Amino acid sequence: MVTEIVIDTLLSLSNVVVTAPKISQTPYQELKGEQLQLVSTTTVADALKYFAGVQIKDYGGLGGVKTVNVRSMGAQHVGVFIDGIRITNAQNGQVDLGKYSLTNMESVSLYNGNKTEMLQSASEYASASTVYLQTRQPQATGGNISYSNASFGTNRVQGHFDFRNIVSVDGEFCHSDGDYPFRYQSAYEDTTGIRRNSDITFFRIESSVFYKGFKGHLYHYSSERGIPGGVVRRLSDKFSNVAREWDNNTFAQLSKSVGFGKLATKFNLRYAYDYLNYNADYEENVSMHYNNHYTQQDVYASATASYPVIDNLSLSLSADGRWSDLVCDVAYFHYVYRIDLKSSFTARYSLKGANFSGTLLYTDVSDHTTKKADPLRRLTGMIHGSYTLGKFQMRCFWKSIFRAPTLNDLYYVQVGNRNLKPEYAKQLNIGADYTLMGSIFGTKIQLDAYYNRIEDRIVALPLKGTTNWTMLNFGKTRCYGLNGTLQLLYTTKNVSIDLLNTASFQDDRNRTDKESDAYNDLIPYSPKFSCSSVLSAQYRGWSGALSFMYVGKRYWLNENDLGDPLKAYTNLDLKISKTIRNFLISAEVNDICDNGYELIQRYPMPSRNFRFTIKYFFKNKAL
Amino acid sequence: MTKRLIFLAIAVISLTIATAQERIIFLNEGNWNSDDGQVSLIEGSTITNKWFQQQNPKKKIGDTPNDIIHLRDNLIAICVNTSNIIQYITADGKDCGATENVPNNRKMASDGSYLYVTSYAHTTALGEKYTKGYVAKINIDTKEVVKTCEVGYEPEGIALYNGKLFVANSGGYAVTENHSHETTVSVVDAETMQKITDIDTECINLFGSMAQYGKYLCINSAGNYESIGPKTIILNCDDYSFVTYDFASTISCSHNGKFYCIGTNFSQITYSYDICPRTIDPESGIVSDGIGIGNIDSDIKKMKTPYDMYFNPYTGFIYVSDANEYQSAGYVYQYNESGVLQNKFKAYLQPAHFLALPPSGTGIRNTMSDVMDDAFYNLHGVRTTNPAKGQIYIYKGKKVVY
Repeated sequence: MVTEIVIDTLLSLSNVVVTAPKISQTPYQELKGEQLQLVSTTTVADALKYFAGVQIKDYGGLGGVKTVNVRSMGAQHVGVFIDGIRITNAQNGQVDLGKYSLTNMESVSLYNGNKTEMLQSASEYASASTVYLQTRQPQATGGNISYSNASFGTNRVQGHFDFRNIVSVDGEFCHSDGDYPFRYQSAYEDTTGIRRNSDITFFRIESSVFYKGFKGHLYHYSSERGIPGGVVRRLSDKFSNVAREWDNNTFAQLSKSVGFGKLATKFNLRYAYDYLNYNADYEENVSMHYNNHYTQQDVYASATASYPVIDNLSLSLSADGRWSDLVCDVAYFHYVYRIDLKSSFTARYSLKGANFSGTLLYTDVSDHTTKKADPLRRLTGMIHGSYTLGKFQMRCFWKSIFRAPTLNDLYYVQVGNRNLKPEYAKQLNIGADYTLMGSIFGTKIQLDAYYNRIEDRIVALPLKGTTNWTMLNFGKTRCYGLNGTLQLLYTTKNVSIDLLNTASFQDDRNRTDKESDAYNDLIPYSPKFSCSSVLSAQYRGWSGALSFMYVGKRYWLNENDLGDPLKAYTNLDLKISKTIRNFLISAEVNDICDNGYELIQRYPMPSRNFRFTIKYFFKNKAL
Repeated sequence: MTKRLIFLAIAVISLTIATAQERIIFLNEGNWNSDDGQVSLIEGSTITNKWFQQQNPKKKIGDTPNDIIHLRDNLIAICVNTSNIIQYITADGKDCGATENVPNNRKMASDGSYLYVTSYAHTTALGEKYTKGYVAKINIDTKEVVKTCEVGYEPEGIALYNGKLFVANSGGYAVTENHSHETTVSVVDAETMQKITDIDTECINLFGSMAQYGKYLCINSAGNYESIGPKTIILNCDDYSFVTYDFASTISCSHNGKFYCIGTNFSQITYSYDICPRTIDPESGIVSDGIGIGNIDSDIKKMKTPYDMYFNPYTGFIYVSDANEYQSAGYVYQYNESGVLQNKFKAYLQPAHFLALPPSGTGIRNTMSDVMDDAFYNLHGVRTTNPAKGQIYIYKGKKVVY
């Protein structure tokens, strides 16, 4: 049983919602409340990297795309949910986590497989892993305003306002020059340089409403950024790959839970508008000159009902409908809209400490365009089981799920392939956890072993003998791994200390073609071992967090030995804050040891950098 | 019996000599934007990958080397496309200068004094701003751009014939750029760098390298990968007449008066690749299926991604590369002149763009002269039956002005 142990350190804080202990039959990790604010994080990706079994892909800098990959299954197998409703991108299936700020978040949690609550929408079952971003509910009227200054010409102004326990508004404006230094040293080069064209300016405003069982969320994000490309050999700075990107992401969503006696129901509605302009049409640009605009809309509705038939048996039904479209001005591209219907049926049986549940999910995806792909209709299933004995829980699950080919995979000019099959992810997980919570000391241990397989991977390969790429179902992988977390807590009246350790071991191999030189090699960007430790402490008005991370070497080519792997790296961040009257002052330093590292070949991350923040609270002392 | 043995011994020795003459440089394009291009060297039956790194400590060739050409005796040029560098090396792989200011360089041609490079870019080293792509003329002594000439959008292949440059325009990225595919071959006076005319081939997207044999060019029209299929054009550079064929020549090279092509079509019906090697006789216009030399055809059909093909003009040895699964090592197949597989070399990612070096060593050179008779080869290493006056050729292993 996973209890909300993190809460215990925070009971003194007014804005923390203490939720009832949940039973999760799937591995579950969470950062929430004060701890989320304590660690040195700017985006959701920074928080997720401390979770076991997670690999972040980050193209570097504040503006570099950041996606999360869980247990090496690929970013498109991760469903990202904001307040219970999935964020989608019909075009490429990826969610850039860099666009979601933590300042307004109550919690960030990760479930391998899916959550095992009864009242969840069909979409929540439809990915191999799920990430939940939960917006903080206001408690009382009040607010704060903050300013921060950071390395690489970064300035940020942020404000938050709460009206009673009903409405919150959170806004942020940020600009970063981004011209950060990097260095490559190897037998073949000694390159130093400044990462040019990596600036970003963004504006975000969002509002949440909580009223009589209704939860509403309005969100708007717009940005302009430079796209610097990989670091390649140049003789000088004379020529560059100049590309700029403008984004506009707006959504409105509403959910409502209603109970009719024993029958529980939940309804979700969402509308999203996403605009992207990618412009490479600059005189100084030496590559392709083009300027393309992409507009996507997404309308989503779902209804879920759950009913306890007898004491031990609950049933749940959910129906989801999603309409998405894509307009773009790429030549030969035809307007396309997609209708994605999902329905799920879940049964859960409980007997003493034992819990079993099974879900059947039916997916029907159809596209509407010229030369469209055949509709995709699939039935998939998953089984969960757990047994709880006192402070000890054992659990296992098996899940088979797929990701549908995205609109880009199917229809993008030159690359698209209408005959693509879905890419399947099959997972088996066996794990246990142990939780011991005393009044002063607390311990929580989780250990999970897993095995997963990806079949019919959708990859881009060049057409035979041409320079043009096409999307193909090519490849199988199999992965086994071990994720462990150990959390130690110490809480007294004045002091609270929390030490969270995670470790991941995995062996993810290419099983595509026995004849191939890459057969049985490790999958690119999957480290065999990684671990992290976050030590956070609060003492009177002081709080601080020291975060450590180690990621082993990673190969970046299918045939591992061909290229030098990305070196293993360690990263150490420190953040210290002090509350003085109505002010919170924080100072942080990231990558203290100035190690410098890459998560993607030739996309260097910023090395040591600093940030100072001053925050003023008015009325109540919100975070 | 003894006679037989002697004959066999001679055969073995001559085979060894033939292999020993082989000296081939080729490029590995690498994984785009990963700065991992490589230059490899084949000497006889040994391969040295990372040859450029080895010969130049603390240096890499850069991102996506795209074309290689022999300029004169001990000078070779390599287009390093994404790095915007034209890298010059000596025959033993040593860095001997670079030209930076031809951004997005694609393919090259040379007369031994000047280097002509196609570029997708719009800005030139001389300050011109063009709407379309251009050809830059570089003085090989100073390695400076001396003149440029605007041609079509995204110019690809370039060949020199009788003082004229023939430039195949692709417009191949028109799916994202706001202009349509090109159908023209621009003819430019190499001396003055003035455009003479545009030959409209009526085939779109003249993409990829092209092969030259005397007055003939073999040009691939890649189509639009959708409704318009690929084609092959044989252009006569004397009278600008051309013949069009309904198949792709994605890869092409020339030898002994013939064009050898490999076309690959992706079938939307069977969802499989169709790899078709063909031989074109430009004089008669006759096309025959297959390369028709030894086992090469059946080997090509077994390859995952045939990527380039080359004939060593000095020895007749044949090289075919297989880019394999793109993210695992490519292979280079080496055949003797009768198509018997000699070696299969493991290279790096996307091996292509071969260049034969003149055989070194006096003994071998004598043998070469015997082998080569009185044949003239142009600077691409293509055997030429009608050498043009005033042009530079390779004759008996040496550069000569005809």
